[in-house]
Amino acid sequence: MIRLSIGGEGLSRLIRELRWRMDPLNWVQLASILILFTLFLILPIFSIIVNAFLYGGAPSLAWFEKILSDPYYMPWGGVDLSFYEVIESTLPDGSRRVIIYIDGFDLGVIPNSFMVATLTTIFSSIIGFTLAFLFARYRFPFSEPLRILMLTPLLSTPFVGAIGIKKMISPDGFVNTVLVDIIPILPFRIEITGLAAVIMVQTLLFYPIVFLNVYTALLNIDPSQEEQAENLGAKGFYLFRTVTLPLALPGLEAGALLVFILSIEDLGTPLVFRGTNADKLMTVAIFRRLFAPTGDIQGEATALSFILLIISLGVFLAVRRYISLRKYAMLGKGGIWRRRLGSIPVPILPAIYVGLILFLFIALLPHIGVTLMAFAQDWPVGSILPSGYTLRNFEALFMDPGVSRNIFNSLVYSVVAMILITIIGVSSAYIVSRIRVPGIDLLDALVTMPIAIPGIIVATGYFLTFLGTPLNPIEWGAPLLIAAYTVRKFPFGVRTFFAGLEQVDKALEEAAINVGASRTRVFFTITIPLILMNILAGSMLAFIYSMSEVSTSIVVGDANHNDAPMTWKMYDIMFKGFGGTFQAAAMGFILMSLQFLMILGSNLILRRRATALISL
Amino acid sequence: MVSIRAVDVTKRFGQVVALDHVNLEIRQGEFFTLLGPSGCGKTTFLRTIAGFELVDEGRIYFDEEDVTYVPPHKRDTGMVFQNYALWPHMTVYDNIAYGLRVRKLPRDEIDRRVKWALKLVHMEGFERRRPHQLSGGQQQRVALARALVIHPRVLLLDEPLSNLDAKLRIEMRSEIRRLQRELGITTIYVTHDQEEALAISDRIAVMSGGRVMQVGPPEEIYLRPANRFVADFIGRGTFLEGRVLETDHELVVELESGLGTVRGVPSRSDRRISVGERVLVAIRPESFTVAGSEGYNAFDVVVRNISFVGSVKRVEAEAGEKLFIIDIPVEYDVSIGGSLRVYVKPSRTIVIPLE
Amino acid sequence: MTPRSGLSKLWIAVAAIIFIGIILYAALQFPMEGGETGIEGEAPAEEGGEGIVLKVITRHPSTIWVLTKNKFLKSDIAKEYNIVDIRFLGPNPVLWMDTIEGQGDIDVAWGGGPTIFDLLLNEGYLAPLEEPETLEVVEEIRDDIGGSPLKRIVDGKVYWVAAAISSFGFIVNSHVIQQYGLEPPEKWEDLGGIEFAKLLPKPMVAYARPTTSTSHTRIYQIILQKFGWEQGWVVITRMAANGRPYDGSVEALSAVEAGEVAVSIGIDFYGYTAQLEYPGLYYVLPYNESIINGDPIAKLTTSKNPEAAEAFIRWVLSVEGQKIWLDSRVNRMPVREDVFKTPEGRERPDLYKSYNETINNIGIPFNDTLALQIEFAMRYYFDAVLADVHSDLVKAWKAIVDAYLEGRISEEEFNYWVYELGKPLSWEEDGQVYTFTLEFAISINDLLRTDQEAIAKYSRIWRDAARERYNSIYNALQG
Repeated sequence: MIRLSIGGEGLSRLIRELRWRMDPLNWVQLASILILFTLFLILPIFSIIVNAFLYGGAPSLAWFEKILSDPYYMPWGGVDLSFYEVIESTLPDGSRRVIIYIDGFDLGVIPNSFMVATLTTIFSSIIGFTLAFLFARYRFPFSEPLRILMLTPLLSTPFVGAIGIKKMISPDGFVNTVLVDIIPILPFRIEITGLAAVIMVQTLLFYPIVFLNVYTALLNIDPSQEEQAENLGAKGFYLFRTVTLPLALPGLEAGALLVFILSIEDLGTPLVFRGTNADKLMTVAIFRRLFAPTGDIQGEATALSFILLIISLGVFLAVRRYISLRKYAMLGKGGIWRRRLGSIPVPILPAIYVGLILFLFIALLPHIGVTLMAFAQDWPVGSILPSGYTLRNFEALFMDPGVSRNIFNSLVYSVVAMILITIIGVSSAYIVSRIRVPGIDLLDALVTMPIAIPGIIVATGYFLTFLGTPLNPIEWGAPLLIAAYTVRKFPFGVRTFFAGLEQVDKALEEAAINVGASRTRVFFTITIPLILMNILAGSMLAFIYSMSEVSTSIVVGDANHNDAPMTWKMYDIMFKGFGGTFQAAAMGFILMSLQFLMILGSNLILRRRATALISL
Repeated sequence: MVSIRAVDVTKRFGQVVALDHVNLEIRQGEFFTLLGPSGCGKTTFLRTIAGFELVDEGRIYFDEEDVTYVPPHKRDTGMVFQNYALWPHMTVYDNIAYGLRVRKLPRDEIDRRVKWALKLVHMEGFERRRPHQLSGGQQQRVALARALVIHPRVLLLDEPLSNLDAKLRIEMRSEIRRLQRELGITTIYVTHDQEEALAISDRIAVMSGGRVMQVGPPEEIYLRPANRFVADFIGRGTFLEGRVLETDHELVVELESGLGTVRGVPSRSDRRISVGERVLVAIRPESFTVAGSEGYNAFDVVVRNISFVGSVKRVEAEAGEKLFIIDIPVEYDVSIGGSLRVYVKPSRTIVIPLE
Repeated sequence: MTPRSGLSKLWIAVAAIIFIGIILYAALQFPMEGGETGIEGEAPAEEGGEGIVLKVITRHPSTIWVLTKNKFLKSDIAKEYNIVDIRFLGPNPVLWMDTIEGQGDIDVAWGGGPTIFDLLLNEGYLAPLEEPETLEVVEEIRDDIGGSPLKRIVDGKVYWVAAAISSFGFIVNSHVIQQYGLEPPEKWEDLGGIEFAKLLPKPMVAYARPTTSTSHTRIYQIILQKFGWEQGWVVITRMAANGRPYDGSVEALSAVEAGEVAVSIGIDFYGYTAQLEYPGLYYVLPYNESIINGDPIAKLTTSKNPEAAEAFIRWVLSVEGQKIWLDSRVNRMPVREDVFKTPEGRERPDLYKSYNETINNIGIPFNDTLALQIEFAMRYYFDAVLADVHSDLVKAWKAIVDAYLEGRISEEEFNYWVYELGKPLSWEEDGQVYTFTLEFAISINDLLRTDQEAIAKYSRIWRDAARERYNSIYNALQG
């Protein structure tokens, strides 16, 4: 936990301990972490966040008072709890058309964000846990490829995903048409929009995080503990409730809390459903109100983002305090015991397959939509599938000479960011895990903070901070983009590395020190080889998430088309060029494919080694 | 081989004082054991010698050299860890050779030494194996070889046998002792098993709560425990509180619980016991006899339990609401509930100041 | 020698590859020409010397960049002034002023609508056009059309000139219209009609929050001037209630393209391009209800090459330069009619037709001064009253429509309620009652331009007052 020594005695002791434990290599590592984060995180966002505390030019908390007393942001003055409406219309041919229009509730911006994040977390956890249990504890044919497919929602689909979803779930989209016209199961169409849709989409987007964490936790449970309980007479649900569930709890809690933070900070999904009550979320309000039309930064928005940051940090620190990571530590590395695997009774097997396929279909709706659009000749409103298929969109895409450059840029930036995240991230995880001086957990909080800060703030901060400097994005976009990816996606790498390190008994390192190896040497000859799997996994994640970074890519890309990455190009095609939806989808398809290749690659390398891909 | 001196060594973890002004001297070539319950500080002390923990106060000397602030990888100690800590990604050969390669020894020298070390622990032929292919006992021996191959100044062992089964433990501990004698290497051995400590040590330091309770050769620890803790921790015994009546010619103690007076000998030579002082009288089970003579202390007890321990019958009995543990010859007849009269020589009746 | 063996060699190999990769990439960066913008490298942009690289900040999309570069750099005028390249910068408008300050050497601003150019003018970033040749070309262009300015002249000096013109209307998705059995709209009022309201809460009209779109702001200004202040707000309110607010004009357009809504309001060139790309979409120029907007070009005070800057501006305003607008990927109205007499111009009769319709369809004499006087007040009011509390607005409007359709209220009563819904708000502040009259809007406009606290304060007041109004209307019409 974070223990701060106060007083001179404590400080000098801290310094002595630090000097004792840190090798020259460690100092270099520590320095690089601090430089990276100060220059590319703290400095840029500081200039923006400081606005939250200025009112009329003087330091003040007035913005916070305003926000917290405003019925727009808080539920003073009534809430809207009607979840749905029934809409009927008469078509020209006289038939009736009924739509159930579901948009969820409205409690005010701040409670909305909370509720959406909470509900998303609950649903993701239920789904994630169930799937994890299924795959961890049961053996059935094709479970391996199915397990990999379960991870595909991690593939991002900025911008076009929105259209993809809508093509699939709008009242005239694929799903409704199939269920109402083709196989008439439902007498009415369902339109899910607003906060209800946000919850649904986010759940499907984030459940893999819970899934992975619980899966690994289940695999790490020492079977003898369950066998012992069974020996004493516990079985079935009782065994599950009293032994298995508590032992898997760390994985569940870690995954759930990560989902909570990601959900409350998510901007992309609410923007898909803009114009409805999905606008009444903190991230949307910040996004909208950050700039006045004159370009001034608004205090109200920065105050709101400060609140968002505090909430996220609070949740993060609560996790660190109440979940002891020691629960993850195992005796040896690599799961030496045999897994307790049950088999599924054959009659139930088809039901399981059907259930999984159906679920996957729903989870992959946006991706399916994007894929269809990428190869579509045309997709008129009202038809459930494209009217024809072609490669023309890809051709048109590549006629623009900038496109291959954008793809190249994305790959290069993401690879460099991945390398930086790996080197500096392993260093950071190592220092936090091994150099246990009081206050070291603050370093961990620092490097995990990026996921709690809305991307628009980071992006704008970068632009404004570095405008007149040698790192001016207008002149040279590459360094800032690489820095942005490195810092913003850092947590995804470092948490994996940390989990790996926690699983390595430190006696292994001490034994090497004892026979004469310096810490530096131990780091390279003992530590790294032992966490190689985690390094691979974390690096892959860093790469995947870097490829799909949006906020900074757009801001820098707008200023410097040449150095812009793929995500900017998609945005440009969709919102600046005209009618480029299909081309943007083609670009999106390429993006997804590259990411999927990486997931496949990493899983092939990791194979059956069930290492936690993401953990807190 | 060096001698080790720890002067006033103190180590704190937050509010907990793990080592409280510990002073110890370990002689050259000695097999020195740290014994105590878990949490007493013995492992912490070992780690400060190894250099994994930095002392808050005090100093550590190897011979005349002050090594207090020498980093662990430069201290030239060899440590065997409780769970062996063999590197799973290397072969047995590489595990042992690692330290030699760090020292940049020539290839043939390394080869020679590794073979020597493997022979020492009777593990020839295992060079290409990997740790997960070895049994617990084999892993332990490899760990030992790894520590010895670098010819350390000091050998440190942290409860190396606790993960082995009983028979193997006894076998291995003799092995270790034999090896140590052969190489003449200064050794610090940490254990919570007092039987083990008594069996193989040259000297033992009994620790509790970060403090050294008593240092001495096994017999002394056993027969002359300096205080209640040591008496209680080492071996079994009968403990009776009392008050000193006389100290002139012999030590006479009036026992509480109406058990009468006894004559005894003080456990510590360095401390005078005064009249009227409250003391603890300790008697080892094997010190009792069923036949006594003039001058012997005597007790009438009621038998509560009898166990057959192979060489003797161990009787748990009661008198004055106190527990007596008495070893009697196997042939001697007793029954539960029956009464028994036992005797003990004054020289075997130890008087411990209660402080 | 070391235990590193395979593993360490792997490390070294990886590190080497990365290192080489980074070097390669950096090397590729520097001499890179081609693509849309060239990276300058170290070439200094001194006068005479090496050749001038013009820097242009613009809101135009990259298609126009490519076309302009290709055409302009080959022209005589470019050679005459030794202009060897153009660097376009396209940051988000909210970052324009920071960019101009931060870069310190941008020459020209081009495209983005009069609003942002007037803003730049106010902040002192625009430099007057001085060269006699430039002023000659400027003379060839009208000063205004139907009251909308095509030039900004202050104290006799010309600060910006329109390089293209556009008008405003809405884009209709005929599939959606058919599907829901709706009447195709033809005028602004139709957007607020009962037809669309029948489908509520499903929105049928897409529009952007005024704070996110200068073009849509213009449309609201048109409506306010066409129908008068009070009635104008009623029309806007009905339309807003029938629809859904988006974060920008392009997003509103995407919505109608995707069939999410039946109609989107928008600027003409979006409409024309959409028409060409999507069968089923068509653009409607509401008869007598539109105005002309000039899209400016101007020289910046930060220009280090003022003569070259003006040369470029001259070219843009010349017949040659105007041909860019005719490209089928661009579809904009040129500011000069004579470009349609050229061979390229004759290949676009459709555009010429639209041009004529546009010019002849001036609905209202537009009072540009007035528009500027209420701009900020109007935008924040709209945002607060119609977009922020949108769901309450919709509820109230639906209640009115349902009551009318169910026969519970008469047509007269309907009109009454509609008026109550849309008329400018009144609220209480410090014991006094204020109403958002035209005069009031004018009086607080300057305050709302710059004072954040005022913006927050009024937004909140208006939101609360609006919500109260909508809820009371809703309640009154129950049962």
